[in-house]
Amino acid sequence: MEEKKKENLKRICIPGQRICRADTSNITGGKGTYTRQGYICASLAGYIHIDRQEKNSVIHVKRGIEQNVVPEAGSIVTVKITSVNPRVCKCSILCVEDTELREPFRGQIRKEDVRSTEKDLVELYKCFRPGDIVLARVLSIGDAHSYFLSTAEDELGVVISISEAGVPMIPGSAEMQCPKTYVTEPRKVAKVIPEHIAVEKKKA
Amino acid sequence: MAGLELLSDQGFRLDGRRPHELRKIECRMGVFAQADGSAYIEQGNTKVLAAVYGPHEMRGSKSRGLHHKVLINCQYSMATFSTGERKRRPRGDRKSQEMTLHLKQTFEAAIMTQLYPRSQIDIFVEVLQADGGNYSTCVNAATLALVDAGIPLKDYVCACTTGFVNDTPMVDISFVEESLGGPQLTVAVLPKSEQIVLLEMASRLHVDYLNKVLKTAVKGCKDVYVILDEVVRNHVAQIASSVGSE
Amino acid sequence: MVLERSDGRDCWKTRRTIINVGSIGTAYGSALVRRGKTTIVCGVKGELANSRPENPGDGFLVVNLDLPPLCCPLFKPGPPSEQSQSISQFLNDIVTSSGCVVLSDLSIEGQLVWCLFVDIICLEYDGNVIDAAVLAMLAALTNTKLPKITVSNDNGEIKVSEALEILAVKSQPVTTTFVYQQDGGHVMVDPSFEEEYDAAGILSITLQEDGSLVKLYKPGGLQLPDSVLEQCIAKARSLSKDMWHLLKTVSETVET
Repeated sequence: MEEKKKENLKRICIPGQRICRADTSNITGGKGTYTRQGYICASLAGYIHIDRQEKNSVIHVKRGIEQNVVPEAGSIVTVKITSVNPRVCKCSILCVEDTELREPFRGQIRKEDVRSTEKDLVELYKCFRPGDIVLARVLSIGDAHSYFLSTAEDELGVVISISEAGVPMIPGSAEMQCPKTYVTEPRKVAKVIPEHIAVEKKKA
Repeated sequence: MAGLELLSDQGFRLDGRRPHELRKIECRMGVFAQADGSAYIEQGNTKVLAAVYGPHEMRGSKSRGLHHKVLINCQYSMATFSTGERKRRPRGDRKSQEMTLHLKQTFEAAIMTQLYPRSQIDIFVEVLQADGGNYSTCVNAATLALVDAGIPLKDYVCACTTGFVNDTPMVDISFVEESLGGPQLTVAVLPKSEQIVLLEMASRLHVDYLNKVLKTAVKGCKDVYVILDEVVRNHVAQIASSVGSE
Repeated sequence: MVLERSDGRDCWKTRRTIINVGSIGTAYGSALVRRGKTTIVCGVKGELANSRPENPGDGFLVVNLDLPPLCCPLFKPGPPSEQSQSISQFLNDIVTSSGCVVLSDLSIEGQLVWCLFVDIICLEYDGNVIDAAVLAMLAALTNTKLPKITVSNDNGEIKVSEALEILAVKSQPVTTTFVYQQDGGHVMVDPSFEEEYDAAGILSITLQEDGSLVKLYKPGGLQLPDSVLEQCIAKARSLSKDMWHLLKTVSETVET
């Protein structure tokens, strides 16, 4: 235990500390580092982790606890729908990838970003309702008010939804059914990849 | 006349320090659970608290948001009981606004702002007791709080206020030394690269002495850096051992 | 049925309280109170003033609470919020109703009186600021040392001496705050941030050592039956005893 502690202490770094030279072709700086004057330097206070892959090794600096993140273009986010109108759907971003945010950011899903096919025939009220939890991808930073999000992929869409009776609904292919009243409500459902289901069935 | 009191013939200052000695610095990180990062620092009798929130969504007028970098929002506040004479306005008066702007400009140089476009980082600094070197202590406290919050920095920012009496530069001046007159130089540097982030000088100083005073000030900042560095390393090791490092 | 709260306490247990006095050298009296995670710092400063003609020989005591944005992300920078102003008024009312500091004690000579400013700043907000602020105010006042002022008879010159005299604090009104939830009305003492946020109503009871009730504060909220109110007053009595003991211990350690 003591030896492990001492070894870890060696790899503590602080902002501004030089880690290694950057000009060797098989070392790149990852999260928590920046390059200056030919050296890779740390920008956070934490531990140095080296990800060794075949040709490349990437250096990260990780803290013991979670850091604050900000949604980036291309990342998958978990949002909660706050309001729906015929043109755009406003939502509040709760998690980015697997990090929960301390304070939500604002996002919007435009009518043309809901599906990849038949974009002009989309009716937003039949895709999302307020209170739904949706998986989406960040398209861009957007305008001053909110991030632009898209669910135009099979794996993106509504994950959890509460029916009008107040019960969580069971997902179908293009709609969700309430287990209490058996009423189906149309939604843009997130499809789970079939391989996943096969793994779960084997376990059972 | 004033010079004789501030620096004795044997080379001792009013509180018994040598001209190049800093005051006793005690600091702690992670003092608050609500804030994303927090720190408390005592430099002699000057006591400062810093809290950092962010990065989070822009608050207030969205038009102030910048599309390519993060907006840094600072607030410098002095408790009404922090000075000898009761301060009527803790914040919003001209001196506080000037300090706020200086802090903002200082940290814009140190924080890697391009990582969080259209977001905001709040830095709140509260002076509980003011005994000289307010700005410097605030910068040191805010640096620790930013490191605690995990906001990527190019380097630490360390600051120090230096006075000049009897051809001798005096590092880390207290309130009494500040008010008895003489030129004062406040400098904030990035210690590793020795780059100056902020430089402010008050009162008259002959140009020939500038280099000497500046060198002493930068050396003072580096001494502060050594102390802050050790505190950060201990804090990181402590967190990892309590959470469970990989 | 014993109800356990999210931090493991039972309904009638307060969080661990730590009081530290005299840390701020520039103030005549100061105190730092930590209750759970709620942290409050208080400083007492004095200025000389002329008393009002309608109350000659009465000094002034002004209490002010500040909830800066650094204590909690809910508070935004700007002018004092409604919450901070209403708590400041609450504290001023306690001082006046309890008579813990008699205003005529603050007179120096003739028209000249002390004007004491008690400034309280919340450094971390985790619920129940009122109780912690009252404790901080009492701890700071009990350990306030004012310089002795003499007015020379011939030219009216005011002399401030180095000697300090302790401010006389006649009583210590301690506040205990309860919250109650919507379902079945479970009452809990010393709420944390989440408990305060979700509460259907809040009740603050201020008692003095001689057993008298100084202030009862129930700002709106769900209706409360009489029996619950009496139960709360009884609990407040026993919990306040611990606080008086703590304040006494703090004063004694300062003197030694």
